[in-house]
Amino acid sequence: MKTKKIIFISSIALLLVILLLGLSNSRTFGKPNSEMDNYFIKNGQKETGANNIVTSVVFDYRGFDTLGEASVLFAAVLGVAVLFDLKITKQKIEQKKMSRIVRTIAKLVFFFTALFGLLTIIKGHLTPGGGFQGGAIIASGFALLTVSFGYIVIGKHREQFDLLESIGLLLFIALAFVGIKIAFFNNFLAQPMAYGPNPGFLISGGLIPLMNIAVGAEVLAALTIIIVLMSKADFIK
Amino acid sequence: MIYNIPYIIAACIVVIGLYTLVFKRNLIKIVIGLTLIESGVNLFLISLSYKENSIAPIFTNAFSDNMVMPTPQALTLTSIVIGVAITALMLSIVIMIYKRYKTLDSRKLTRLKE
Repeated sequence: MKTKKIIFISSIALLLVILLLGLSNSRTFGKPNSEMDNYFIKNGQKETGANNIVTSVVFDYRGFDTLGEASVLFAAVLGVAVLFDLKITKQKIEQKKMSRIVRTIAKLVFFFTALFGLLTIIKGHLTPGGGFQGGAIIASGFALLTVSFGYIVIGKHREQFDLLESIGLLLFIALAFVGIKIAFFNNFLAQPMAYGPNPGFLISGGLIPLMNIAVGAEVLAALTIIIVLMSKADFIK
Repeated sequence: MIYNIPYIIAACIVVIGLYTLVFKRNLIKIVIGLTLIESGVNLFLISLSYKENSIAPIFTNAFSDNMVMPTPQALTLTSIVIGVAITALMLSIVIMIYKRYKTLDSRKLTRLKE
């Protein structure tokens, strides 16, 4: 037992030394020598019409990655649901509720959280944000409601969230297929925009805002379902 | 060498995560170790893409066109979302293990439940 531990610790220390040697002799922090990404910065606005280059990389140049990502999230929700989705008695869950102060404040905060999340989704191609981030923000609002009001307030809308998640993913895939005549994930609605800073126009970016909305719906429903199912886990025998 | 300190911190986080995976017996701590490794990789990707005196790659009201690289940020976004999904799945499996065996110690989980 003792020798085993020594071998493990020394191998981990060796790995740390190798990593540190390799990293300290690699390129200097803050001075990347790759020119690949200059292409996206120089041509991103011209080709996709979106101001946020990260969003245009996520939903246009590397759309396949995002498709896999959304599918992985869907599959994870499916796995959690398979583990937790058991029938439980109703009066057992209704008694878990926090005090009136917490509930009132939670209602108030949820409104602003949802508003901020919606803004993050809709302006995802202009400002920092996008479907994933905004969906996560709205889902955190639902988590607040679940914690303060108990399982049932979100849990009774479980089917609607299931529907929203499926519709979001299907809409995203459908939007990817719209431009199939030229290529998968072809952004055929994009209006070319001149290179350089601009104040930001809501109608720009072609399919990217629509994809943001689809992915935002999927992510908010997926994370909310995970939270709801996990909050129910306490009552499973 | 000293300017590379974000890379070094990322490597340290990954190694701490590996240590947690190997030596901790509590299943929750193992999940935390995996999350630590993932955070280290994310930090490494982000610090690779950083350029001095540059801003986020967003043109809305930008005051300069010296921008950091967008692709590692997009990949980190992918990585974060997949990490969340995997963590949720792992934690639910841990919860079900606890419900069944009444323990989180991975050494006591070797026996099949009859």
